[in-house]
Amino acid sequence: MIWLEALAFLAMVAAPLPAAAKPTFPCALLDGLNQACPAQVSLQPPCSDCHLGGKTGGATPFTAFAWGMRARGMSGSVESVKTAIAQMKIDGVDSDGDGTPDWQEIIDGTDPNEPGTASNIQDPQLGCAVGGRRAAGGIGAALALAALALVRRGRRRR
Amino acid sequence: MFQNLGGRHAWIAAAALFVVLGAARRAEAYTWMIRYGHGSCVSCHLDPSGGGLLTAYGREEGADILRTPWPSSGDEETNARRGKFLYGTVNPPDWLLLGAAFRPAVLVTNASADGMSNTTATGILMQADLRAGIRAGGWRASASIGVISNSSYASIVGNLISREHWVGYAFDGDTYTIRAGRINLPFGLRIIEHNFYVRAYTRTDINDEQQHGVAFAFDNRRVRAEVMGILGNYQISPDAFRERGYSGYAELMIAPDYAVGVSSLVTHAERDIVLGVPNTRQAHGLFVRLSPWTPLVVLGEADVTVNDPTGGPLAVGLATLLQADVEPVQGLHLIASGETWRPGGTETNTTYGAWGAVDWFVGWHLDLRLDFGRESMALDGMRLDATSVLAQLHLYL
Repeated sequence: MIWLEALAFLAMVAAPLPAAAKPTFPCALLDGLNQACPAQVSLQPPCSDCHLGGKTGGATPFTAFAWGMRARGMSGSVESVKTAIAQMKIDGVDSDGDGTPDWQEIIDGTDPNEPGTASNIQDPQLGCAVGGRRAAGGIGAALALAALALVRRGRRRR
Repeated sequence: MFQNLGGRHAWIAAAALFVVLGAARRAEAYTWMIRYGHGSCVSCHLDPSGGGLLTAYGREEGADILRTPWPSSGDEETNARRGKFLYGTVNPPDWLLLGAAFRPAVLVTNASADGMSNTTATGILMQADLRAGIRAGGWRASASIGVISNSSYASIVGNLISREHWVGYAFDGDTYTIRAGRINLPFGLRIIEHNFYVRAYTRTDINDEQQHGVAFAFDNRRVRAEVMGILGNYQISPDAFRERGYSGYAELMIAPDYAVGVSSLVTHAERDIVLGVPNTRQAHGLFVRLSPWTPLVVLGEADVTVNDPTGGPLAVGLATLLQADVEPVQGLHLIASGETWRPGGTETNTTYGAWGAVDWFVGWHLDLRLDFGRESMALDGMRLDATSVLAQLHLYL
């Protein structure tokens, strides 16, 4: 019983947690380059410019571009993003060495970390409920619930 | 449920459970167990290739050899009970395996380049998972559910994650196991340090790079191997991001404390999760585990990576790792690691990393770890230096 309650509690406390993202940072990058920020999120710089694999949070801002930004003062504030990208432009940083400086790649929508990337790169959607499918990920919770329900039943029999 | 529960232990258990529920992991896999002759994984772990949920035997072994044995430790029976799930306060049936882990951390990093320097600090909930598994006859099943502070490829919704969930069947005393579900990719050294270049650039860590698919494992205690048909990570979308292909390894135990292995991976995605274009990705490598002297374990791995993105340059890279783990006193690990990464393609220079760590299994179900790392990253002819300090508390039940 306690485990079913534990899982229910876990689901309740976890679901509303924010994804630890800084949704204002992509626009701050463009703002620091005196560019207007598109209203459509898919046209804004993707999280993967700074975060490994587009996974946001304090443990992942470790792309080459992010390191360059951090060396130039980027921290947890929007203002620091603006000043860091402006300094990146002055320094002409080209993290992937493809001949196009990072600041230009941010405007173009290409990935400053990887040469030869297409414009308007988008992050993957994370989670089972997106993309119109609630697929195999739900199996995990179902398996755990089933196993723990069996425990509960076994206890009642004793 | 909380039968045989002493007053003090009840509070400890309740507090631990509260902490786990309030936050719950990154999978555990201690490759250095080879120093005790544990070259095979399947006797201690439900996963035939290691990591995650422990079998009853695995818990007993862990209780004996993982932690520092203080002089005031209790009698054998008490210790055996303490080593069990939730300090033995819960007695699930033999076929049901339960586990939980909680790993908060503080990460301080300094980046410097071109005479500029900047330091940041952040708190990270790396792991807060509950795990359940079934080991009934030949049937095997495992599932984890938890929360973390970062977004993740293991996300079910928001920060609620399930790193693995699979069902399977084992034949001939776990010599053969077939599984289907979300499974750790069988490749290279199964280590917890998921940021090491050999794990990060082959995308084979056990943090959240698991994929859905079907895997077949073999382990006769002299040879262990697993090959997995990868159907994609169905916890990301759209479908174009999902990689299809295979991943596998085979390891030969040359001696009880000496093993060498090979790994191979080939996948294709219509939209590579990093490059954003169609990409066929390969990784092929060698790894070794060696304990020439019981307190010392040496781990090594080298992987060639190949990325062949549409419209981009072919990049043939190389990631390497060499790690020495010294355990001067049982439970206290002094770990030194060196690693390199050359991505290939237009980048001709090499990135270097060096790490030192102290990991102390200070008591029952608890270890404290402090890592210090220096990296020199090659960025188009420039160098960027990074210094990292990572302090972790790991409570595992």
